[in-house]
Amino acid sequence: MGILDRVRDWLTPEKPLQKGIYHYRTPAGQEERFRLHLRVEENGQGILVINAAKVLHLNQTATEHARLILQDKSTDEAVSEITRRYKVNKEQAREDYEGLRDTILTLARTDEICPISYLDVERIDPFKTPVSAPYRMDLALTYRCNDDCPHCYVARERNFPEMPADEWKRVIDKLWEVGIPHATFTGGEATLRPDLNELIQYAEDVGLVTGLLTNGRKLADKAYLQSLLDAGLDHIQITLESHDEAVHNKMVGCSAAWAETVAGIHNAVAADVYVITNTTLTHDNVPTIEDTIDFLASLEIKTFACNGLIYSGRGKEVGTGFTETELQGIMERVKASAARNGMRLIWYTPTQYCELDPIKMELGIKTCTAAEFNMCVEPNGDVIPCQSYYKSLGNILKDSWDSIWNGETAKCLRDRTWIQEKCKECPELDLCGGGCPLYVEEHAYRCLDTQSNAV
Amino acid sequence: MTTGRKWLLRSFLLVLALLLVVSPVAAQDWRFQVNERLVHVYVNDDGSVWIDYNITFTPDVGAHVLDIIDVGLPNADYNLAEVKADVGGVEIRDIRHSEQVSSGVEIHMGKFAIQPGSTGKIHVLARVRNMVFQDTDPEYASLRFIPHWYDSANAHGTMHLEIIIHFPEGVTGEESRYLAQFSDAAIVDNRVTYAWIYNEASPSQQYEVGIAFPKKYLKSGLPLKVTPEPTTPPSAVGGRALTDILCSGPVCILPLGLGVFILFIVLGARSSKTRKLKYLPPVVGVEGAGIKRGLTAVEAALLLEAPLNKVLTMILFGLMKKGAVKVLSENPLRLQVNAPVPEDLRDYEKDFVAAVSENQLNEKQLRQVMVGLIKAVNEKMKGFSRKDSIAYYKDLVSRAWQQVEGADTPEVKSQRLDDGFEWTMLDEDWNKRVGRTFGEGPVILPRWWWHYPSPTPSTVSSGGGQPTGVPKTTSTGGGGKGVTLPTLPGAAFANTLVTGVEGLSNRVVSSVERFTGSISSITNPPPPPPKTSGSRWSGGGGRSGGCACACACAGCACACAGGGR
Repeated sequence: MGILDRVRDWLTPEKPLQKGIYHYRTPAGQEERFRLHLRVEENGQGILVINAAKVLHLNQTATEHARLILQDKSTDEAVSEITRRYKVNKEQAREDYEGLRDTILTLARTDEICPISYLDVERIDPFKTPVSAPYRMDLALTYRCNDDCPHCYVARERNFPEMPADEWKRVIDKLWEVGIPHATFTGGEATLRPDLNELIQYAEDVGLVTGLLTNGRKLADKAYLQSLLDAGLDHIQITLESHDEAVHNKMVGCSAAWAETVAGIHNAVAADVYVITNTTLTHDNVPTIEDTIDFLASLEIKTFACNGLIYSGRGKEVGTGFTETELQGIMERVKASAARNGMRLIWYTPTQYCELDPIKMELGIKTCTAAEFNMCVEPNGDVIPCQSYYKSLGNILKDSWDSIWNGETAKCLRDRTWIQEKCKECPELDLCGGGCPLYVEEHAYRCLDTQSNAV
Repeated sequence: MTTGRKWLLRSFLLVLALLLVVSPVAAQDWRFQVNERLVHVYVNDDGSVWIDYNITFTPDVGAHVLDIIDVGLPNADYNLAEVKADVGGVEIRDIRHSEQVSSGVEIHMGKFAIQPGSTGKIHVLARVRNMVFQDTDPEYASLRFIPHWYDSANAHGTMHLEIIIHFPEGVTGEESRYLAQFSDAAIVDNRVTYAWIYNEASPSQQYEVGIAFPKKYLKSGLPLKVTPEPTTPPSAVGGRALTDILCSGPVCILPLGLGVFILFIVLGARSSKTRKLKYLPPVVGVEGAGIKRGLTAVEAALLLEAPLNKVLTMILFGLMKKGAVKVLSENPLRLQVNAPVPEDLRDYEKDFVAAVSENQLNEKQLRQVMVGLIKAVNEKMKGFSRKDSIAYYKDLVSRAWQQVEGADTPEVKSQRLDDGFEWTMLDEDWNKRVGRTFGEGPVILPRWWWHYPSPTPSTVSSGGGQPTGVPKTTSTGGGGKGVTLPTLPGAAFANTLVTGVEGLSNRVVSSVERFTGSISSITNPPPPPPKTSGSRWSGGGGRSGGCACACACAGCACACAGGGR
């Protein structure tokens, strides 16, 4: 480098970090394991995702520190870098670096500590900080399935065109490029794709956290499960509709399903992977839901999820769903059962808080996050707002991310311009978000203007 | 060339290099979104315009608070007295000539400063003169206007922009002309208006619009400049975007030799300082709900960090109110569980009842009651602001007292105490406040009084020779058949209540310190990992595992993770 270049470098104003994503994974063989992803946004601010579950928003300075933390810099190295770029003395930089590292490591190592209550992490209003891409992308590899659920939300033909593995790898590259740290493989039934473990391995090599949403039947084969885990799979969600074989098999439309699914759960629980189950609450399984939860506990499931019927695909016609008001009483029962068994409950369904308030029920803040925190890529590469909202926003391999992310439908969902008139002045709107658009469309008996051709 | 001459030449080159590379340095902490900007331009017949801005800003989380907002104006021909600003109708008086833009004002927001992460709206109205020019059509006058824009280093995102120009009064639609195709036109207050609407405008882009109209609608004889320069306000910023230009012109062109070297050092030092980014304290935020509402008084007591024996006493009083438990004696503390146990007991109340064995409290079981309760409260508080919630519950306690103190009659006062008794207990000044509130006049005893041990008459006295501690009865109601309610002189009631609560608190566990210590060791959140200064990350300890969807905060990435098949 010539002397003038050096002078130029020396004098050129420092700039905030460039947009991009940074990743840290604890080294193989270490007892403690966690994953950190830092997405640096255009404005130099950052989003730190811990174990694909906790999301922290960082200002520019914290982002700079976090980047160095993810790069595993020693304090001295970090202080040197920070003081080179920022107007700050070493003592302050050291204190801030160590403080932030302790906060991040604490959150990475335990779920028991609430960052707001105990770590002086600032609370910011939910859903107010714009993001440039979702935190998680669901990859619907295929719409083929070995179950035949009468309430299935998939609104596509089973023989919907599928991309080959190479194209899916390009999709994964694209996800990383736009800063998405987490992908879940789904369908249909993703395990029907013979290249599933190849794609998991690829995504893991790129740096993504990977998950699998499955009916669990193929996991009855221990060797197959192991091949997925060897590829690096981080978490699995298995759908079990009932402890009762007949009820489960009726709900999934397959007489052989229950035994295989339960065997799959057994194998997954025994394996070294994070496992939860999911149950759709319908008229078929709710009468004995407590027994199902007891059964899950007996399978050593620690965390299970529930959701209401999704009004998409066959779900619109099946007629076994509950209204949000009815779900309130059901969820009280589910909660009580979970507490009795010492299990953690995750409630998925976004509802209108005037009908079912998940905060009052201590189920957490639940809002529709389609086209915001999560999206879905269909088997042909089209991006849809979520797994059950079948309106293409563009094709991830053909269209620019900006045109997909900032398209009319995506913005309509994020901006809540679709909401019902009654919601517009509601003080709960910021948290409630108006509920699930699909439910509202189904139950309000009206066509939401921007979604008239949604499904 | 001698070494000295080489050095001098090199120094000179360095100085030249400095001149070449130095560039404006923008401050990095003013980052915001402009959500919406509505601009009305009213053209007056004297060639001036009123410019009416409504601008909504959202400073980025972690960015600097917007405490000063600069608004660029098209030219310097304005009077500060004719610039007004308000937030929600409340006038902001601190308006000055801008130090940042050549023509414009800076509005010092004071208490209306827009905090990072929140959204604020400001309204600015300014009169600017000499805005109308001679059009190329000799019979027409014209005006071109570009609303102020922002440095892209500061403003980002897209905004909704509307520019609405109101023609001078009298101009007809047929006579009106425009520079750029407008989005809409209308007659507003008898004036032709053109609107240019941009739904996804860039805050750092210049949007030029313009109109023309017959000169006859201006005051006769009004001189118009012939050259229709666009009335472009200077680049303006919300907040403070500093433009710091190092070294300009002749100052740097100095003789060679030592002077050059010193200059180089000075410039270098100054450059080093200014080229660096401004350091703000690192801020980490997580999306979460604010106040956790719906806690019971007992749960709130834990949040407010009330002593654990007091929390247990509150549970006990709650059970007495519900008729589930009766205090047989205070010293030693002996309890009787009434049968049947009411069905509406909370979990911690059921556990407390279960801890009563042979009229005594089993301390080991009480510990489990408290551990369970603390864990439940911690779970409930996940994702909520502890600080905001504490403030909320302190206010609730205060209001509970106000309700009691504000009661007009003994009956109402008694009822309100009954309703909010556990909440009032959370007052740190509870003992004195009970005395102040109930010290005078008769007190109608709350229903649960009968589950409380009888007060000792000899320790309580009241004026007039009334036997203390022995409830009297009083009649309520109008002329009809009254309900007979038991009363106690106020001082006796207060004394009994205070000594009773204190007594129970002291005896509910044998040693408060030991009890608290045994609980804390179980329920305190896991300590943060050891300080890692000077070392790299290391393994060991902690949980292993992948990706738990466990966070109750809104920022949890597990939202709607795809059930339903």
